[in-house]
Amino acid sequence: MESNEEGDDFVPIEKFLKMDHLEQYVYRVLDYTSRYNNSNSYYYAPINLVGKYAKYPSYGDFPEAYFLRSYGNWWKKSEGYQLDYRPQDFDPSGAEDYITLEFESAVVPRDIFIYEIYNPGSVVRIWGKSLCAPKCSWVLLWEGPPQIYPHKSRIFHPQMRKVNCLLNTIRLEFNQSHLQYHCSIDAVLLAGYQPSTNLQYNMMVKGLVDSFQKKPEVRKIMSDHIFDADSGGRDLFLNLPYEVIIHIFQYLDLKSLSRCAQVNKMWNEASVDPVLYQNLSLKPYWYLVNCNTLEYFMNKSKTLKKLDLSWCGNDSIEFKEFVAVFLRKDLRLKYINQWFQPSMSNLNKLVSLDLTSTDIQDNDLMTILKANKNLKHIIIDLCENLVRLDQIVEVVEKYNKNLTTWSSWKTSSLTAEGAKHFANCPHLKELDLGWCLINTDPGNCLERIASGCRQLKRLILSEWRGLNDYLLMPVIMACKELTQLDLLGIKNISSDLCEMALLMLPKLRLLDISFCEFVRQEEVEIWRQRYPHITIQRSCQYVVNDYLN
Amino acid sequence: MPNIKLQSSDGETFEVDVEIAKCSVTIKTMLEDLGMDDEEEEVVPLPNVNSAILRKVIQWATYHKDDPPPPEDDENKEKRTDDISSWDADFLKVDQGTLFELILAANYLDIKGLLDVTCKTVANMIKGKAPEEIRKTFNIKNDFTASEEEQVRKENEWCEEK
Repeated sequence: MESNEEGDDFVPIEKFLKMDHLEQYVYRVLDYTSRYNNSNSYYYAPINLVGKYAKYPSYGDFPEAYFLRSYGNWWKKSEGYQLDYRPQDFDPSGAEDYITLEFESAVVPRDIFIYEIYNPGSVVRIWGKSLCAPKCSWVLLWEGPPQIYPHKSRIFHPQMRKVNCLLNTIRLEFNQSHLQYHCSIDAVLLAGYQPSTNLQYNMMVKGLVDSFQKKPEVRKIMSDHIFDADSGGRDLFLNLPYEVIIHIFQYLDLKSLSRCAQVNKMWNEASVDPVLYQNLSLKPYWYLVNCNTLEYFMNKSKTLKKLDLSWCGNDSIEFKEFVAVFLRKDLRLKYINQWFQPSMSNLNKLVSLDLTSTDIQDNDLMTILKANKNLKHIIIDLCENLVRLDQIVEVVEKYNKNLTTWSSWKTSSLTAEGAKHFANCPHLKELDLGWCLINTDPGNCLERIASGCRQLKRLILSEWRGLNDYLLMPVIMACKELTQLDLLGIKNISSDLCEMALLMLPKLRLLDISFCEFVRQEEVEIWRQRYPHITIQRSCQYVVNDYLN
Repeated sequence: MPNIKLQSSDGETFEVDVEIAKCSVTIKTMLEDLGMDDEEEEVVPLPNVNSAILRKVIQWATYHKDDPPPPEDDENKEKRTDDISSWDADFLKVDQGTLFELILAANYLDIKGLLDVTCKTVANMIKGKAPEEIRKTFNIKNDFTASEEEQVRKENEWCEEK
């Protein structure tokens, strides 16, 4: 840990240096893992976090704020969801997404105010990127479990750990899995102390003012059941066969294994056994991972099978290139979206491909689809460079016979003609075509899909504005396995059709009819009573007039 | 329910329900191989397990006799260590000598559930500790030379938060 952390004898720097108190809103958004908007739209976009709040204290679904895309456990229950590659390294806070925010002036952080205006309670961690020597790195400022909070807007003001380093970059981590609907943030205010002279600033950045604080030992609490039995003065590991030691070590997280390597020669030998490194997930260590770390693990993982590099090296081109060089083609990868390179097209054992928000081109994607015949899950949400989606669906129909998940949410070049080809993917269980056919006539493509894909469990048709009751009926008649149906923003849908869906789809558990204008709120309330096992989503807005501001 | 007799290394005999004894794959195989099902009076000798440990193993197996069979060892096997039941946690509040003997017995008798939970308990004693604390906890001698230790420390520097 950095030497300027909070310890017993911690003295806040503003107590002995004259500094200026400063409050500032976000200046720029640097990086994020989740967005709800297309790149050509400001609605719900991360950029809405810049500057002062726009809607607080109003509560609800406002396009002027930042919206995270996922919520609840629906995603985890999906066919394409991959379990953690290394559950030993699981994150107790369960962070699913992050956003990195830049502020104009570097300050010693003291308070943070997060304006949550829809489904609050998802922030689980706050990091700051220290600008101060000796090690400019991420510092954990706050950590806490996801919170259950009433449906009202709030200013979340967690008690941050006191540190004496300067920073102007903050990262928020979210866990939205307990929320019933999207969460939304309007603004983030950072308060702290700013050096009042250039000399002060330079001294701090060079690490000259923090040397006298005590270095604390920070430890994660692993479990209530830890019981340190007495060894009775003997080293009992000497009695254990090697395979039992490995059995114990397989329960350890990567960090503990690295500590074990330093205990003695016998432990060192056991701790580098390749069997312990068949699956790697470096996401929990994103703030420590660089090319050297990766090389360190690659040297140990001669038999590596699965690799998850989510959140790692996102700010480093060098890292991405490094990754591209060592990837073996039979690796199973998770979240390759964040560092996808065309040179990865030689992979051939992919089961799941998530290229969300990448600039992948049509030809590269088609090459990958043809080479990976066992692909089951294809996720190409928000890929705006894909302009020949119809042709891509035809490739899938031909080469990827096992397809169970297709998601091209907000990737817009699909037409009704192309969508018909999904009818020849009989194993398809999840089809997310949200915002795909916004302004075109869907024709009879749903009828075709309904007759070919009888196993469909999830169907997302958000904003298919040309859709009506008649065109949607075949789905309700044929797809009896449906658990999730998303009709958000389809204005022509009638109450009768919704009631039909509730009545005739025995497995339905989630129906999103937000912005379906012909469906009255009173009817929704009645349905919620009558079908308590079905979650009926309907986004809302409670506007509070501006005079409160 | 037919019973079976197990004899510990120090000569004590324990009478146990056959079904409970069979949670040990070693005993189960032995019974099947030797066709000992019928003759009840046979005694199964367990030369690697003393009476104190065998008593604990039987106690554990009796409590867990209705557990569903453990899942096959595969990649998705649960590797978390925060899922130890409170009964098991209390059962394993013993000195290290007993804990390690239970591990050896579970390994020898091939009782997967007991091996898993005892190994998880030791893993929990390792987690979050610095190398020197680990040595202290388990009374381990550091046999690195100063330069070796420095080398190993450097190799594993990545995980020390900055």
